[in-house]
Amino acid sequence: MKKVFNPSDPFKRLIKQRFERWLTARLPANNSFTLNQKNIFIFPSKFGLQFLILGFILFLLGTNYQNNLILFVVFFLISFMVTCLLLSYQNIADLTLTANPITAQFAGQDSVFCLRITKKFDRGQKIDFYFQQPSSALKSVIKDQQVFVYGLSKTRGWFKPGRVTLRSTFPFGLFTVWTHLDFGLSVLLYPEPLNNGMPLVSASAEQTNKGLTNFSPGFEQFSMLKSYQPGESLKSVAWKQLAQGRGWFSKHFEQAQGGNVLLDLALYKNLDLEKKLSLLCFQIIELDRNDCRYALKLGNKTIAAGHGLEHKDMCLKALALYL
Amino acid sequence: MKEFLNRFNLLFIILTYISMMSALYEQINPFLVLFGLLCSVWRIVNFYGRLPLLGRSWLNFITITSSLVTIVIVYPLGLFSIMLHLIMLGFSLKFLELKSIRDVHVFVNTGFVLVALFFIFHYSIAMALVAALLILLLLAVLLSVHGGRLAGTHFLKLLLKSCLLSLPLAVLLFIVIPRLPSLWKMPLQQQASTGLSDSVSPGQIAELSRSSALAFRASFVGDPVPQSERYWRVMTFDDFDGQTWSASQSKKMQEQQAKQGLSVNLQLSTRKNSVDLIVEPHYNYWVPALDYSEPGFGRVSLSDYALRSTTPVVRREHFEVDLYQQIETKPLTTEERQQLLSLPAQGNLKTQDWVATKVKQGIDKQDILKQLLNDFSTKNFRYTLKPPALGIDHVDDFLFSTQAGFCVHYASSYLYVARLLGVPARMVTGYLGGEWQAENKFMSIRQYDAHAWVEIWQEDRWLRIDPTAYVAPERIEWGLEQSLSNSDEFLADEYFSLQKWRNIKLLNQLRTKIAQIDYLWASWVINYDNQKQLRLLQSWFTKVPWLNFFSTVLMIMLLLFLSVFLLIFKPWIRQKINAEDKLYAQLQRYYSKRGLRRQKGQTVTDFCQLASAKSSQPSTLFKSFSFKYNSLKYEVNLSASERKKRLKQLGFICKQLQKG
Repeated sequence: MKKVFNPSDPFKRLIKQRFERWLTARLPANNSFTLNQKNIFIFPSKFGLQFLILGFILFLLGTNYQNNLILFVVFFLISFMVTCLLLSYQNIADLTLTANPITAQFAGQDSVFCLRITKKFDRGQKIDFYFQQPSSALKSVIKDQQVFVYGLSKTRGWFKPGRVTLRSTFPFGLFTVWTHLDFGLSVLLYPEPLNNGMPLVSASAEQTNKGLTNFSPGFEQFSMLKSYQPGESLKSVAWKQLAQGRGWFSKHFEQAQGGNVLLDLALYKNLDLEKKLSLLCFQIIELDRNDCRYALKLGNKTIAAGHGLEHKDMCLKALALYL
Repeated sequence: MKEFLNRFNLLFIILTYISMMSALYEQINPFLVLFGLLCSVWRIVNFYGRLPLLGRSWLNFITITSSLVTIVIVYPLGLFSIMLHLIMLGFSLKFLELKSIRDVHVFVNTGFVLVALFFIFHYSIAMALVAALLILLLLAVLLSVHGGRLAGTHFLKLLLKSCLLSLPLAVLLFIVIPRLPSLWKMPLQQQASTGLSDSVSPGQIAELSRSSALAFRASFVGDPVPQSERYWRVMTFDDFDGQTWSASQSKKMQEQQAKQGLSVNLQLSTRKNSVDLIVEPHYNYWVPALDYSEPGFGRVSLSDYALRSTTPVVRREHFEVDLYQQIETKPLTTEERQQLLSLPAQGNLKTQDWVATKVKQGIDKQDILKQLLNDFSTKNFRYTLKPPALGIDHVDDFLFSTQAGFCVHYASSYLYVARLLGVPARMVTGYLGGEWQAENKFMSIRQYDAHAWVEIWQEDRWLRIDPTAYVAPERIEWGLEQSLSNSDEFLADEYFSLQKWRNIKLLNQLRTKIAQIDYLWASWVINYDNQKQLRLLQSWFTKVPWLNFFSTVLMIMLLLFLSVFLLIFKPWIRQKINAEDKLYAQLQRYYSKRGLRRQKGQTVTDFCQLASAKSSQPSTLFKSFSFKYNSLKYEVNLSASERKKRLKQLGFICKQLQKG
């Protein structure tokens, strides 16, 4: 039972492991964090270290020239650093971050994670947010009281982007204030939709025999009247009923009323599993957009025919989690 | 993450660069100033989007050529100048190429070094304010880069707030932190020395008298020396070539030795008081001395009772000099006497005739000299800063035709006559008088207080004669302004000097106030040293009793804390771990890496059982480990040799178990 170490820097890796373990013990996962001295880390930045070296050089200069004014500059710079330490802490402290619930997204696209910030008026200036293991090329966006952090994964299923890093060099760049917060973020990624130009459903004549009708595009049939909601297209307004003085109604149509579509994984042969799932995903999206009824069969698991948002989500989830 | 600079950053950077350049303008070679000007022009044009930044190869080319040119130009000016110019050049080049935030960091750091170098040249309050502005600008650059979208009043508020918050600690550190002595010798800036020069001819001191620049300041500890005795001795001249008075070879030798710290031993007795001097930089070695000054630390005496510093005075320097009443003199040697009597063979026939007639008349030497002084006061002699020009025989011209001159004219003529009569005599230059600031009990001596007088050797001691006192006694009592018959001559070129307008009451008040503040600045900031620090802290402790109490309490608390800390943690007691426990802990560490952690309350037998599932080693080995461990731990009457044997076995098993 030997562990495979990266031969180039086993030492670095060891340190990293230790650090991770320590971090988990110190900052366990939570949905919401209020930043304070328990979860903020402050170190002099690279520039801060250079600044200290500068102070030392000036001290030598001042001492060797016995020049009190130079020494005063040195003392000023040192105490300025102390002030910066406090200001940089003040900037980030008392910030409250809460993770918003995330809806499922698609693999292969940048998935967005949203954190809500609660802060005082002029605090929380210039903070960078990113994942400790960055995966997306997109930079985080801070808008109003929300931060959108982007992660990217190409594999479907549950995606855990890991800890969110907050980093700030505010106000003078002498100190880096940072923390890695574990919001327990995870998102369900549906397979990446893939359109390979095939007809929407590869259902063959066999399906029809089994009582499932083929999907015929363009076929629309009136289904019901619903009370009109402001914002709905004027085309769907039931003018006739309105004219009769029965109030505002909108006409609703249903397609493929005649039969259900069966999507079966087994029908795709000689293809990679991921690709098959991607194709199915695309079909589900298309069928849902056309408001068709469809059933899904994945191996021995079958989802009965249905339609609507919930049905679509159920099917996509099944795809995402299919082993 | 590469970040770019926005216009707000660039605005501050350009502003900082231009201010830095103009602050150091005087110290920098015109070539570099021009280069800096070009850099800023390029940057400004780039700022308005008319020009791109220079490419890498262009920058390399400029870097190499400009540094070569700078080194060639600056090389003769000495190490300090090279250092200053190269740092300035680096600053300019960084400014020119500046692209990323890392560049800004280097730019700002170099800027701080330049501010420090600025303080080597400048030390007045006004210049300190200029430097403070430069520091503020440098910090503004940093804030604009790291402060995000701060702008306007928020930006300024944060900048000033952080600076003001830093000041108290900085001042405290300044007051409390002891000063170290120079760690090693640094190159000094070479600059032409100001003030009195090392030779004097009639008319030279008159030039100094046009300047109201401060020469030094003095305050007395004890009784102040009376006004008529404030002859501050700087140079002594004993060689005359008919035109100028200068130092003889042996005197020059002594000056050289003084630079190496060789002091002439003076036999001083009866201490009078002491004087605190704050000397403005004059880039020379002299320290003004009253009669008779003790050398003290960092200074040496010359045989003419003058003082020299062992290092040139390149900044406002503080000297504390003890004054003595009496000095023991040695008789002159033949060589010295010869030197003090030497005169050029030719010239000044009229004077020689005049002296010869007087001698023929049988008048005593001393009486002739007295008569000369009498003539100065009674005959038609004038004291003026603008004397008519003299010919080659300038003693003749002065005594018998122009009869108008400045202190050097009088001193020089008197000396000439004295030497003709065979009285050893020498010329002394220095400063006379000074303005007494009664409120702060210090006096300012300015360049126009420069003076020249004579010393003659009489009764085996040097006697001071001031011929000027006979023609213009006001000069000694009141200073230069009162002694001039034509008051327009006073500071004729300095229209804007507050010194010139001191008869206007308001301006005079303003002037004295500024002088006071500047004096406090000089003595408490520029020359704040360990001695002053000690005195200040002592005075605090005596004045504020609770401070003493407070520090005692603090000390006691610290001691208590330390002892409690030691008692609790007992760092001297090492926790003793049995050998078998060490082995067991080793095993636990090994398996915890493989995902098996010993729970609390788990016995060694249980642990070994669980571990055997994780290992490829036979389970009997685990069993024997736990058995051996338990026997070592709990078996009574275990003999020492048996114990040792079992420990060895346990160690072996432990090693085996860590292989699988």
